[in-house]
Amino acid sequence: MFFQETEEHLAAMEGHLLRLDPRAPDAEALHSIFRAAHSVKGNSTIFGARHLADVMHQIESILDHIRKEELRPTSDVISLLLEACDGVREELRRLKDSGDTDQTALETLHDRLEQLTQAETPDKRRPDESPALTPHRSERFRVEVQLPPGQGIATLPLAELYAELGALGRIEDVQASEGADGSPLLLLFLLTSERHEAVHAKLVSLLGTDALRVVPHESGPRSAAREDAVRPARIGDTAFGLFGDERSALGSLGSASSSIARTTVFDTTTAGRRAADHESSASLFGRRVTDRMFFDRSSIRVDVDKVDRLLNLAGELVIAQSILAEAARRSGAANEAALRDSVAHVARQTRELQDAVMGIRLLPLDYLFSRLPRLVRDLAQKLAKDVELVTEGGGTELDKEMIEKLADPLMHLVRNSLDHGIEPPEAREAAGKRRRGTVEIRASHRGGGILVEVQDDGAGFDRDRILRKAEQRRLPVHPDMSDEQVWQLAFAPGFSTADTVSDVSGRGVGMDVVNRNIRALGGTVEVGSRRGQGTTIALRLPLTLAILDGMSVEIGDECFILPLSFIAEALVPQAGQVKSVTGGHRVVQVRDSYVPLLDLQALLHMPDDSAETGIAIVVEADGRHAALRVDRLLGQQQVVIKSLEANYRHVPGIAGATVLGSGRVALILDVNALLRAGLAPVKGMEELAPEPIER
Amino acid sequence: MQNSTLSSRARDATVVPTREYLAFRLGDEMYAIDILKVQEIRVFEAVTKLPGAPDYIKGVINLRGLIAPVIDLRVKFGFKEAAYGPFTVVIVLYVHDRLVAIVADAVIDVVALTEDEIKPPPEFATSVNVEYVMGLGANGDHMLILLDIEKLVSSQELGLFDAEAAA
Repeated sequence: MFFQETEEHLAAMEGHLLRLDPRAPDAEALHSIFRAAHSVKGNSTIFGARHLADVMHQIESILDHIRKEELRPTSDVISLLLEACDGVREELRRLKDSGDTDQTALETLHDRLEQLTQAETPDKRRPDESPALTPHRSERFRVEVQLPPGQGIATLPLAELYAELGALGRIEDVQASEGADGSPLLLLFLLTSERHEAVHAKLVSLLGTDALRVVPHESGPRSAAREDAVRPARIGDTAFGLFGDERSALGSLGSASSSIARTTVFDTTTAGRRAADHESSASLFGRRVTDRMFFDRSSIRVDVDKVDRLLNLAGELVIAQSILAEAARRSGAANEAALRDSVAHVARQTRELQDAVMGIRLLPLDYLFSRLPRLVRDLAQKLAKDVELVTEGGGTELDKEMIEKLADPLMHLVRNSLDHGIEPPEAREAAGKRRRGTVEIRASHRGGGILVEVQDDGAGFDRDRILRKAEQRRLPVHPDMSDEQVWQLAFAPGFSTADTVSDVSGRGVGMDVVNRNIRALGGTVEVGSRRGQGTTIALRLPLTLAILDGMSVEIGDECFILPLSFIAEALVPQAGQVKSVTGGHRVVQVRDSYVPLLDLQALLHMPDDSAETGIAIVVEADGRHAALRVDRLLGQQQVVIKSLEANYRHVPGIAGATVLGSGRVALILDVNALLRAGLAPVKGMEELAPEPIER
Repeated sequence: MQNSTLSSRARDATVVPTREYLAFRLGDEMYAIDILKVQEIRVFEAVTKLPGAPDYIKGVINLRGLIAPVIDLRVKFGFKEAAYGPFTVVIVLYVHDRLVAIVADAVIDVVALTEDEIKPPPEFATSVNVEYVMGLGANGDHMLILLDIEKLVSSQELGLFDAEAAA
């Protein structure tokens, strides 16, 4: 929880930092960064990672200076802050993985950050700012001290508290009240020139507890009336066992959300814990965390396992319902019509339930897109290129698992565009283009799936160079190949046209891996490129990994599912359409071309007892065509994909399993693997170029 | 149901200083496995065959939305006969975070055995590799072969798991 939450806050910080305009930093964005940084600090303190908290403290100081316009967020300053984020993130990773820490790295960071604050601020400080009693720039804080239930406010060292806080500033009001969970709460309104951390630290040392919050309070104590946070007394509330959790939750909550939002949260009857969950799952969406949308999309954080269980149950319900429907159809009961109606009703409801549960797993692509600005910024700097990133359609939703698996290929494509696509500014100018290159990423719904395009206005693929490289790598090429075929060469394993291997790209693992990963997700990769004008790479993906449109077919006495996306057509071969060729292989004539006919029974090690006829299903995978002979087509249906590997192992030729309406298991055929196994091993060009076939 | 009585007795096992075992019959022999590894017992239903699987893997079944392999130990142990009748059951095991079902001719009883009552595995050859036998026990006049089902199910020999998953 700590790691994930902190990671999300760091991501939010980064997002805002990247969009910060050095000339006119947006105050709201600065606040957001500040809040995120503060949450990280608070979390680190609670977690006991003192050194992290120290670094975050320095970051906060810098942000504070920026906020007070004492320091200009120049590119250098932002870079340092981003670097600090990275440092903290790395340290977190170390803590998470091994529990080790790298104190020196963080100390270096700490020192560099400190230098910045010290170097920049004194001379810019306003001359009239003196440590007067009512200083020029004082802030109002609301201090909330949580007490365990049953313990009265009076048990606090109040006199000391007042004395100490009084020394820091002016105590404007004190209220005793009750938190959302029914625990006693002491509220103090303090006007002070001290920094937030100083107040917090003072309180912690004084009270010896972390169960307190110090939050900026804009409008003074009179607004306390609208502090719905303080709910009327609720005696005997049992929700208190969660105190430990809530404490930390409160800490991060308070600092990350605006005062208004906070009020809203506490207003809901559930306790802080739930509210904190709201917040942290909202942070999943990266940069939206602290934006105005914050509480518009109220959400809860749920364990994926729980969702999967729900999904399973919904799937089971669909099956149970279809069994019921079958039974209803068969029974000759007098009130058959009524029964049928109610079954139809149940059917509709279960479908809807299934869709809704499935929807839980969907996340907007923004989750991925939010990582890109940083990547592009860093890379552009490293490569000395001027690049603008445009993203579109970030709201398009996709299965969580898909999003995760899409991350690497997408990063790769963007890296490629920057490294190989976009030219250096001088070269662009010479070519009559804008100095600043553009990488555009667009996502949209297309049919039953989504389309993600990565487009750059760079140099485009170099046909001759690819052909040359392909020749060197002994890939079969000929000069008459179509552009599409040439582009496909770039997807060959180990293929790279980069003359130098950089740590950006050029190791030749890129496109090959992209292609494989996208295919593994059931998607396709298409390339469009024009010399001198740019390249577009289109990724087409199914919406979810959990559901598949399939054709159920019968082979022998078993039912299999053939993914619809592979099927080109189905035909009943007439006598003379099937021909034997050398080596015992058979081909089937489909209009004016011949397609290899694969014997599924042999491939699946099933006894071959079927008659000669049957149905040939022409499938296409990896640009190759083949016909699969099945006994019968049973019908088209959506199936929920279940893993065979979860309790068994991978089975060659089988992509997974599903449960049919009858409750029985049917296996889903892995067309790619079957074609690889069934077709004669082909090398190079034949593999890449599709066989000519009329559609 | 059978299922619920089994699990309630399994719960008692923590109180008594003995361990409980589920005794079942394979052909003429009686076997017993740690009851804590047993998730449920079901009637044998039609399985979906797996292409290229060894003969003792009958196929897969649907356990409330999860796909689990069904192993016929009678085939694996080389029994002459492996018939499926109305009393044939599958014992669903939960081992190494996985569900595996084994076919049994019948479930006999839940037997509580103390350490002392378990005799070391025999030197002579049984149909089971002695590596997977924890010891011998008794249920009345019958000898019980205590199987180390966890070891057996995750063994390379059975090949239920992908190599890396088993590691």
